[in-house]
Amino acid sequence: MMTLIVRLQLANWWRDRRLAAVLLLSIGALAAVSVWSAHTDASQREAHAEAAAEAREQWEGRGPSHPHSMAHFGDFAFRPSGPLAQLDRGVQARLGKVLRIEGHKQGTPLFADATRAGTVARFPRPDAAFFLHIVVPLLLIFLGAMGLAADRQSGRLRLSLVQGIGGRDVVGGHFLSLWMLGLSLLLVIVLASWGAASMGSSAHIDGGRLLAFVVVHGLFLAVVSAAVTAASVWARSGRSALLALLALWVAGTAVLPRVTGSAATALYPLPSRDAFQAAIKEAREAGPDGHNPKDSFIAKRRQEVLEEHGVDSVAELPINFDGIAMQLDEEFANQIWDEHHGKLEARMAQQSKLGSWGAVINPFQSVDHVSMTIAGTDLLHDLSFLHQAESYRRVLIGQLNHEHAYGGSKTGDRTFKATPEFYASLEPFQYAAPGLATALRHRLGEILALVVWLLLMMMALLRGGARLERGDLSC
Amino acid sequence: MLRLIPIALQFERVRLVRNRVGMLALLAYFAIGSLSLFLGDRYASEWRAAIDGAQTAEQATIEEAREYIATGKGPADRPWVDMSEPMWQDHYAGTRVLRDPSPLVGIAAGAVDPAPVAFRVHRRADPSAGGGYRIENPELVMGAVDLTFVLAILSPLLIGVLGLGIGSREREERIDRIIVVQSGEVRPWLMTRLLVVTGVTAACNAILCGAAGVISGASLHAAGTLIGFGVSYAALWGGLLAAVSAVAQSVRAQSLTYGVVWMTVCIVMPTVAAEVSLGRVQTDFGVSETLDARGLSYEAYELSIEDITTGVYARYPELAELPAASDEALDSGMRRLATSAVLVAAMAKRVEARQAEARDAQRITDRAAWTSPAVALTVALERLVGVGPEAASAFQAHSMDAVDQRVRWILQSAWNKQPLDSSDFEALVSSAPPPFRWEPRSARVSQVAMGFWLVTAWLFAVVGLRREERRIEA
Repeated sequence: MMTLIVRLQLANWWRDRRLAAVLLLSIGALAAVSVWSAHTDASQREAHAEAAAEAREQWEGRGPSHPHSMAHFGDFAFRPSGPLAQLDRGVQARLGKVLRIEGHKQGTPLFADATRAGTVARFPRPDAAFFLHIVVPLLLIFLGAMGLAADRQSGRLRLSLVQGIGGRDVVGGHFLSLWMLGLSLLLVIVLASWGAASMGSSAHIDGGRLLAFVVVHGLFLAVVSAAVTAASVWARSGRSALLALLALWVAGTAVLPRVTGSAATALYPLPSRDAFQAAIKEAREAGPDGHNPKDSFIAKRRQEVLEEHGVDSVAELPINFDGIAMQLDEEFANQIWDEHHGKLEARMAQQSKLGSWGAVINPFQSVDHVSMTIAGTDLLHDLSFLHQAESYRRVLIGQLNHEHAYGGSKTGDRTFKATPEFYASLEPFQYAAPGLATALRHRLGEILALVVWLLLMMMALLRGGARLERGDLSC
Repeated sequence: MLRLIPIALQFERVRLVRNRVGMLALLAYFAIGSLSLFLGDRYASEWRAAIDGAQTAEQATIEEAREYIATGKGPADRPWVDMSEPMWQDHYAGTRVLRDPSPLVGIAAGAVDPAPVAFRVHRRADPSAGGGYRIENPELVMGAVDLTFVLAILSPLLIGVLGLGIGSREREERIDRIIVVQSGEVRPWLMTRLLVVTGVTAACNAILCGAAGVISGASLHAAGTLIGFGVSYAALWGGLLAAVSAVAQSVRAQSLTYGVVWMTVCIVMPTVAAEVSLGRVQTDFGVSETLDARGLSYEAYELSIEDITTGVYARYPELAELPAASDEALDSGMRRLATSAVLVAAMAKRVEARQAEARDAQRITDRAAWTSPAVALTVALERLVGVGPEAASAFQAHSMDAVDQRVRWILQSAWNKQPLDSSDFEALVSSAPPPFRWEPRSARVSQVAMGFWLVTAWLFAVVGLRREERRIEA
């Protein structure tokens, strides 16, 4: 019986020319957006690969150079797109894309797209996730809220119940037809993205993440469909169901995410960039300065090295002490960075936790968070990039300092040049996104919230169906 | 129609009191508006605190330098610091270009603003290598509540909730025919009711804008302009509601149509504009500022002295008249300074190119303002208070000028070949560039676009209502 109701509902939508037009328009828009996103994402990946290759070419093309000169010549870590960024660009536009890798200092990623795109950059980009989180639920609300109301008004609902169709079958049929419509729109996105990805050489799609994207959005669409059907069953009229659902949609998509975000920022404020950098500078001044031969920490270390080698002056050392001094400076700076950046990250984690609590009461936020994580375009992936880039910086500068100290030069020898082969042997920066399972572990709260929402909505549906059958609700 | 206003006011008051959804919407609007004012005030305070911090740091460096000049010695662990050299006076002047916030800066706290509020000027300072003064959690910053958001996105919803049913309910329940029979015409009554609802929303916007002006201590002119924007935006949406009311035959149709209009104008068009604008820069990994600039900075040290001096004298012609210009060869210190001047010239070109790019991006935004009044209002408010990419770009240009002037001073001092003393240092400190003040720019495109929407919507509404009336009469 439920299948019959589903077919009837789908046929009703299809017969209504205006609705059919809206549905076709939605399918067209979703397909176009998915293909366009896949295309622009592929261009971005190409540009990323070109920039990284050019940086490597410059690095290897420097010829024989002093290792410390190369530590200042440095490198650049270019931020790649998230593994599934063509479907959900998440916060990518707000993140700096290039991080300078250099001796003595940890940089800030620069050249975020949003900083160069004018005033409109404060608005989100219309990717597949935007449509699935904002537009498709609205479509389901308009179709679903009035669907059961129309049956009620025309007397079809009463007639169905009189003929022996169970109330649960009726609401189940309405729920399934809405959900199937949502799933078919999701399918359009998946097929369009897959198609576009298989056509382009640089386009890229991660099967595991795509599957997770489909599952989570399927779950979210089930929550929306169940909520819409439940509202239309429980509300006194289609109009009040529509009004209530629209209010929830506005609150869930436009108001609550901003309010929880603003509350998190107000409750756990981050330091200003100047204050953060000044605190690091001050802390570093209390430690060794590799460029200052008069520095007391360096002098102490120098004495230790002289004693280790049993000599009286650095000129007698078989190694270059300057390299050791530079590494001492580096290691102290790394400790300071870990301490200050660690505090900053802990503060961001507190903010995000509050955001996650907001997501528990708001399925729109839940799906937004989980979707970004699956696409690899959230804060977790941003921090992962920063950590990997910093690890790369430490390894690179450590190798350069080692060559400086033990590569064959003596202390104070500024004419020493390491070979191009040595520089070519140093590994370039390669970013590996965290695994999907690791990433999703950070979003367990949101995933659980979606499941709980679905169960609650299902219970509301079942109870509504039962009361409809008993005649407790108007039909 | 004037005589209908008191009746319509009374009618709408009673309707609002009975309408729980309307009351809730009104309360929610003021609650979110108040939150935006609180957050805006906080944003402005943080901005001022960052400026105070920069001024304190500048003063500390200056005091340190004065001590070195007075004792004739540099820091204990850096005995090579020689305050008679321009390079060290530049370093210890600690000069900052400050960016004075406009009092109303908090209303656009959610803007993307990539410039710092204090920029340290020295011979190697790069205005494009920084970022905004705030460290932001990207997941939270994507949706900030500021007054701009409340006015641009939420006030149309408020007017929708308050005004839904006007016209459409009369038609749905066929009351319009009774009104025509009783008073001869229905149009003035509906128009008056729509004007009253528009007036209520405009008053709400005016209260929030006025409160923003009072909290921030803005000038009467600035606060008045903000109130003007708030009121005219409400009038614009009143027109759109009226246009929808004129054609909708049922409340359902009216709510659907108005919802589609809101969705298109406030959500879809701005996101399409964002896509166009962001899509243009998506493949740019700042290669000119990173790889090219790095290559140039190393090549510059391998340039011949003739190439360096030619470049430097072309940019700073007054140097050719100074004593060092007649030397046969520049010493290594002066050569180093001249090389950094060559690099600063290249940096100025890069900053200029970014300025051009920013202007292009803003042109896209201006075009988008025609398609969406929400974009038009956002641009107008950001231009009013000096926050956002446009203001950030102007501050970068101002900072670049300051760096250029500083390099000029260093070169002139070095080319004079006279050791500097405390009076030179004090002169350098006192010649620090003035704070950058954003002059509220004309948002003419936005104003014209909003005016166009406003007039068109109300015209459409008037014509639609007249047609509807004729239909009833017929």
